[in-house]
Amino acid sequence: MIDNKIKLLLASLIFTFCIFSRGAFEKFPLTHILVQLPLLICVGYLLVDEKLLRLGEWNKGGYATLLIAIFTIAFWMLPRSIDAALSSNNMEVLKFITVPLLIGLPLKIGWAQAHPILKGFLKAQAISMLGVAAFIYIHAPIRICVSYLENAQQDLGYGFLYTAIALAVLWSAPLFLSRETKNFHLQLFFPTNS
Amino acid sequence: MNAFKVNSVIILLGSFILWFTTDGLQALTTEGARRLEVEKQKPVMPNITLETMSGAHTRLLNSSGHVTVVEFIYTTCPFICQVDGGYLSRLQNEIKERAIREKVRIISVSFDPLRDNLNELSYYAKRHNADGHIWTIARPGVEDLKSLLKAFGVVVIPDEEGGYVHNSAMHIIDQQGRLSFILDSNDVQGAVKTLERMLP
Amino acid sequence: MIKPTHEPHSNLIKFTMLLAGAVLLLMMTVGLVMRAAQGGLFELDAAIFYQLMTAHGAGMVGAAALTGAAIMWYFVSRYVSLLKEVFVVFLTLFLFGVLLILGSISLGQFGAGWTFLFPLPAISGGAWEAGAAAAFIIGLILIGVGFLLINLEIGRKLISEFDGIGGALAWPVISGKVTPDDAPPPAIVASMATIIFNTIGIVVGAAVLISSLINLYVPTFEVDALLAKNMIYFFGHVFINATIYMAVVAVYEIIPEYTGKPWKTSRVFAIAWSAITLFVMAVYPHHMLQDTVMPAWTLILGQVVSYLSGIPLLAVTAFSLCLYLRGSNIKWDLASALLVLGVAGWSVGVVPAIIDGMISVNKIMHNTQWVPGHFHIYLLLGEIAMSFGFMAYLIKEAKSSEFKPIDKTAFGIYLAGGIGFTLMFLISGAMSVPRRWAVHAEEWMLQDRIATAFALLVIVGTLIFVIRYIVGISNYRRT
Repeated sequence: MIDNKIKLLLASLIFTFCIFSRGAFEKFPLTHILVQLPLLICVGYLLVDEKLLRLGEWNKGGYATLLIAIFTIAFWMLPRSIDAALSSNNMEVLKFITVPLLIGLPLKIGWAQAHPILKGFLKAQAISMLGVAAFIYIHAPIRICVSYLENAQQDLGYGFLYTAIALAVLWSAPLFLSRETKNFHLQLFFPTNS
Repeated sequence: MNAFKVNSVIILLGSFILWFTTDGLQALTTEGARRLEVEKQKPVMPNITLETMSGAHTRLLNSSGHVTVVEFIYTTCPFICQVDGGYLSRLQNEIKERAIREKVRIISVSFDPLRDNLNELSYYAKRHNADGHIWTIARPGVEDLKSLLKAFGVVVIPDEEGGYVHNSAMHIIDQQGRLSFILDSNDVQGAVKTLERMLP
Repeated sequence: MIKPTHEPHSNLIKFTMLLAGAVLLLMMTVGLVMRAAQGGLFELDAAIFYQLMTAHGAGMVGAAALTGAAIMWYFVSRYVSLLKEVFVVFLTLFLFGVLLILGSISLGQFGAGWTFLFPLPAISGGAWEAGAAAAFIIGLILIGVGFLLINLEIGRKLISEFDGIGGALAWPVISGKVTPDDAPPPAIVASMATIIFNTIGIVVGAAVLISSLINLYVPTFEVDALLAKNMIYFFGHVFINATIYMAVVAVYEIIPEYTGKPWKTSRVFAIAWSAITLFVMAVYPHHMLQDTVMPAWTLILGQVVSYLSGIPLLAVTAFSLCLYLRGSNIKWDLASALLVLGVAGWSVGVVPAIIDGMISVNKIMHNTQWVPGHFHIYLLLGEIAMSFGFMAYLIKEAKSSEFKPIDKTAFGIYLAGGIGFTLMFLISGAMSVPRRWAVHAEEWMLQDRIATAFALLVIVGTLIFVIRYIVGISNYRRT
């Protein structure tokens, strides 16, 4: 297990990196949406410690925190919001605050408490919505974000598609493992004497 | 507080924020927001002088009660502006057949006035049959360009091939010089309907 | 052989089947009206015909899926403990979805067919508003979410209970590590396979449904029509086929109770179901053989897999069913007769599909009534027959398992009606009568009228099944 301090250090490193790499990442929608935003989500993810995982009755089943994350994701999925982050400094600051604290952090907390069926549903939903985004961004005859070029928009569309495929493989592959192979891999990476 | 209450509050608050930021789910994109805002605010456009393809000068806002359809182009554009030229040509033909023909002007305004000289403007007009009467091609003075684009809310970004990417749309200015509607470039029927509504 | 260990959720499933029975009767009546109108027996406004066609398609696919899901849930819940609440949520979502769909058709005049093929829902030419199309699409999404939930619940239980997807698909039997005696039962293998492709189908379906929904309200976010068609037919093909793959679980579980011989997961059986899992997803391009813009290899794949799909199915289920029946003293009653009919109808229904799956034939036949001929055999004499068999099984009492005269009559009427009805479609198809036409030419009306009479027989048979079922479950309650 990684120590909390190391996690905090890592989080601040990634956050600082995101701030300094702003120009480079925000030049293209692909890196803006599929590199910078996930990195910021990771920052929030790393901020969660054991105490935060037990939030009490109001977050039973993880619904409250997951809903916060979902609404914030929905907000940043709007092409308008992304455009605004590029043209207004206030929105850019808002992005750097809300993506870690209102997506990454609550997602991690909620996920830990979510029912397996809810998790499965959210995974299916995520793959499906990435498919929708890919569908629209690859094909739209107009520029969805006025700040970006059309072919860059298509790159983003393919990015969504490949992400959807990667997640589908990542999430379904472990289901094929039998107990025997799982144990074998565990032994390989974490050998025990027993 | 129990979970049910907290969840309800989050759903209400989240829906409210999304509703608010998308103007009631009507505008998901910046372009959609621009159109919606124009229809609500109807901002008055700057009355700048344009140089038409024949070398004559005209004002963007016209005092003789015309409705003006403005489209932004650059004539060396390889694709979109040429397609849009086709749509405007169809719009010109539709207008010619109707009573509103005396009261409508169409102006394709170049946002690349340095490269688009009078020859280029005329050539573009010839290719798309702009008659110079209802529909003319024009360019602003270099000094007016920035304020003009800003007033219309048009974003122009240079692309990798030495051209530009820009929002293409039909901007309709009413008799009082207010930008009243923005329509998709290909929405010729919608434009005709809107014009007939504005000119009873 | 792994034996059932749990009490199935009987009451919940009995209620579900009652609901499905009612929907089936209603939708059969809608079908009767359509055939009668095509036969010129009365005047029907073309717009209403297409609304009825949309209702019939969506309703029948929904009813087939509902019965299939109920059958799968019932039998899987005998082997693993399933969360009852998930099925209740599924049923609720399903009913809300049905309400929205019926509303979109009856109030909104939506009539774009159940396949909601772009651009028809969005560009109706004024026949219906975007709101009606949206209600229909949201209704389908709700139903899809319901199915996703039960798939997730069954899937996760099977994966943990039977040691991964491979375990539940009986791969250790294929590799020879485990003997059929210790293998998961056929019901588990079939359910696992169905859940895999149905979940993938639903995820793809949800993506195209939501894209269509966005397109309705933001038309500038255009949908690529060809890609949309591919996604819709992938989803539609997988979803409708899943219904029959779920329903066949009833055959695997009930027939051994009649023959006294256990139905084991043999090596061939396991291989066949793993193959089906891939084939059912790879075969969908055979719906698009007329789309000349499709890459050639996809169409060839569609044709080749069409042939291949028939083999595991016919070889494994139909052939082994024959083996089980031969030399066993099966006691015939309504349940066993309908289940065997279901397998027969399923197998026979594949034949016209394979013929239509040939590119050269498809160019001529695909838009004729040949295709409804195929899928009506598949469903009416296959999936629905299995479902009625399951319903008869649910109300069967141990002491009185005999083939009563009333049941024999109903079975005979249903069978005769079903064969005659589907045969008329095939004959019309062979004569190049187009499908999905509200108004028929004089020369086509004879078959339409004969079909109408046979449809009436089917409805009479069904009515007896359903009434017997209602009487059966109310008796069951009292005792």
